Amino acid sequence: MNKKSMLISSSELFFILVGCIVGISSTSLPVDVVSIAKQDGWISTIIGGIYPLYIVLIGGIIIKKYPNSNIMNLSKAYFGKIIGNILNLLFMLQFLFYGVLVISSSSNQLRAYSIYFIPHFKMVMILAIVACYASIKGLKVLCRFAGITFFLLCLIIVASTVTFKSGSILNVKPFFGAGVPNILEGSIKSAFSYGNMELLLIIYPYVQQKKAILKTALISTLVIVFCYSWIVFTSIYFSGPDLVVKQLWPFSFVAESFKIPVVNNFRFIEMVIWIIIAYKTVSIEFYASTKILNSITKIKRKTICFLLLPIIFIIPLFMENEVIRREIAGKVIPWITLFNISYVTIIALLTLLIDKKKLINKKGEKPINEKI
Amino acid sequence: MKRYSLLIISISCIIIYTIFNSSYGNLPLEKVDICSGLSFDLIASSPVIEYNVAASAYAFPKKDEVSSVILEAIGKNIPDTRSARSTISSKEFLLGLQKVFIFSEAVATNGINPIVDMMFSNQQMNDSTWIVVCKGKAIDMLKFKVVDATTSSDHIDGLVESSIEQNFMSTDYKVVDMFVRVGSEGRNLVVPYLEILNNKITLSGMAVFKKDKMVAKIPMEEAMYMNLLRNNKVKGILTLQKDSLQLISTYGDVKRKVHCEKINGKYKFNIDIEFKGQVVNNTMYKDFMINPKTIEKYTHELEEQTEKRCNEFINKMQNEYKTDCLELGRDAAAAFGRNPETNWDNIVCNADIKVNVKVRVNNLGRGQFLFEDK
Repeated sequence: MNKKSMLISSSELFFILVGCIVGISSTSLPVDVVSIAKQDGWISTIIGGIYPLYIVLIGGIIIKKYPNSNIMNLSKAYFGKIIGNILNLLFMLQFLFYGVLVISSSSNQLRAYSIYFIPHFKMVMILAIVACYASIKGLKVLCRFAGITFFLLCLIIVASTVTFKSGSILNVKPFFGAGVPNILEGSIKSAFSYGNMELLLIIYPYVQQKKAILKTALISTLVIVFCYSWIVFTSIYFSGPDLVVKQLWPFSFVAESFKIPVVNNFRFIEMVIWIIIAYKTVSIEFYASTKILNSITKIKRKTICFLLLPIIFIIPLFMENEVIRREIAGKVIPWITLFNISYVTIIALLTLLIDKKKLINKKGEKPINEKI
Repeated sequence: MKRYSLLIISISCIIIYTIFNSSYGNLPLEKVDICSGLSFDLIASSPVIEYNVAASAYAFPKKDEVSSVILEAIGKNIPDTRSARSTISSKEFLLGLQKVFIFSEAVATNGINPIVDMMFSNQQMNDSTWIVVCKGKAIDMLKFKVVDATTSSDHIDGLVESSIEQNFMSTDYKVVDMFVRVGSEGRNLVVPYLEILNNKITLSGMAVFKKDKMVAKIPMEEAMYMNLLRNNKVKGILTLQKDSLQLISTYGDVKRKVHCEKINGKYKFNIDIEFKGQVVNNTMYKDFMINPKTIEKYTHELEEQTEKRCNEFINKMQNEYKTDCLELGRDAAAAFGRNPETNWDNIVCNADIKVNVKVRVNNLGRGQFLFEDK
């Protein structure tokens, strides 16, 4: 097979970065933000976008210096094999944890909104198997999958403009009325939902045009911030800040009000789209964790996929109740975010300070030998 | 390998079928109680509060014939009525296609919060169901035989939906509108009030809610001015009448804008209403078609009269109903900041409300056919 075709183009990088972050959990994002920042939740969401922007910018330093390595190799080179691998293991666990959260949340939401007759474990099983299968197929396939789902996401975003007739701008006013401290506190809450931008640091050696990586990543960050703040804005615009906090999935409530000609009930169309988006998010996150474990243990990635499958199948079974899932997520995700920021920052600083010539020469020539 | 893959696919198909087959088959239409409307009553005579929730469902006793049955159930709370209903029903109950929820006045004054909560958590709920309040027992309204439809709920569905043409009614009387109004800051729910007059279901006024409790029933003549002041982009007739022979009516639509000021802690509201429409009847002025000045004179007269009526309503609202029926608190909250502890009903009732009506006649129809009386 031609080696060039194994690499992903910059537009595919854009799709996979957007696809990794924007998932089914964005329907519940307005609750967290609006409960603190009230009607200014959408401003908080824009401010929260600083977190992925920071990761991209600081990742830019790493990418510029070692365009053919990745964050796992760098941490092994700088911290030694043992500490580096422990850090990588923690790095892997967060992707796995996000995957577990997405699986349980999508099962919970789907069971609440459309398929009440399918039990939790069957939903989890099918999500886990699809994630495993898709991630075995490799990065290229995932990119294409993400490309398709990106347009489905656009469809939902465009369709939500229909609500602008039934809502009112009075629900969103007064701007900045909640007070700056509340808006900033809400932006911290929203930042937690921007996790997984670190995927960029794992897959950047497989991008064809090395120079376009940073630009593409910045564009995808902007698109993600736009999507999220749009979702929060329409939720507030339609329901008002008092009703948003009473719901579990406010954006789905917005979708139910769509009155589109020919379509009788938009709810089921929306649910079908969200489940495809959830499959994609889980697959990408599962791929990332297997990729990291592959670089730690050197076991074949296909085997690792099967080894990790029980984890993403069994742990979501304990999160059948959405409230419990949110409590677990609320306790763990702040630490993950803190770890990510410090981990990436330290490695970026080390790349600035210490030159690892060895890494550039030795690994730089043939990192693509590893199967993607 | 190819032989094996065929085997794997067929086996996995069987496995998927056995796991995901929920044994939840589709029932034919005749085996399901399709609910067309629900009524909520309160039984006050018993020591504990008891609800009487009745559902009217379509029935198919003969071929090509549709009739309806009433499934009545009594319980200490609303979920209990579901269990009670299944003991008398011969079919599976299907919620989701219902057209209307009828609250009796007793339920509405007692507070609809438990009912709203039940509707909100139920994901099978159809959010575009109408909400109406009725005089007396709601179940009588549900049982009422109508000529033009199978069930009275179908009739009420059409009645509320078509009411938009007159009386400045809007369409914001659905379940989803109830969700966004009850409990939101500065907003109050207003729904149609029905009663049986002359053996016909009649929309006789509007029921006004304060939070989740009904506080007033406003008759239609007054409610027309409430709707005019409350709703944006609605239609209706305004009539200027001196005596039975001299009158001019105009049918048109209304645009409403609210400006809110706060001077020394006291709120001041300006409601600007622009009424634009077509003259439908004129027996007052004979030179309407020739003289634009007469039209201008007429518009000023109509403006004055409408402002007077509106002020009468506002007076009554501030002193008698003591509720913010016009959702002015919402505009004030949007302008001066939200605070859940603010009592907007009180503030609006003590505030200075000014109504500015502007009438514009843009159409005289086909012309003027005035009978000259000698």
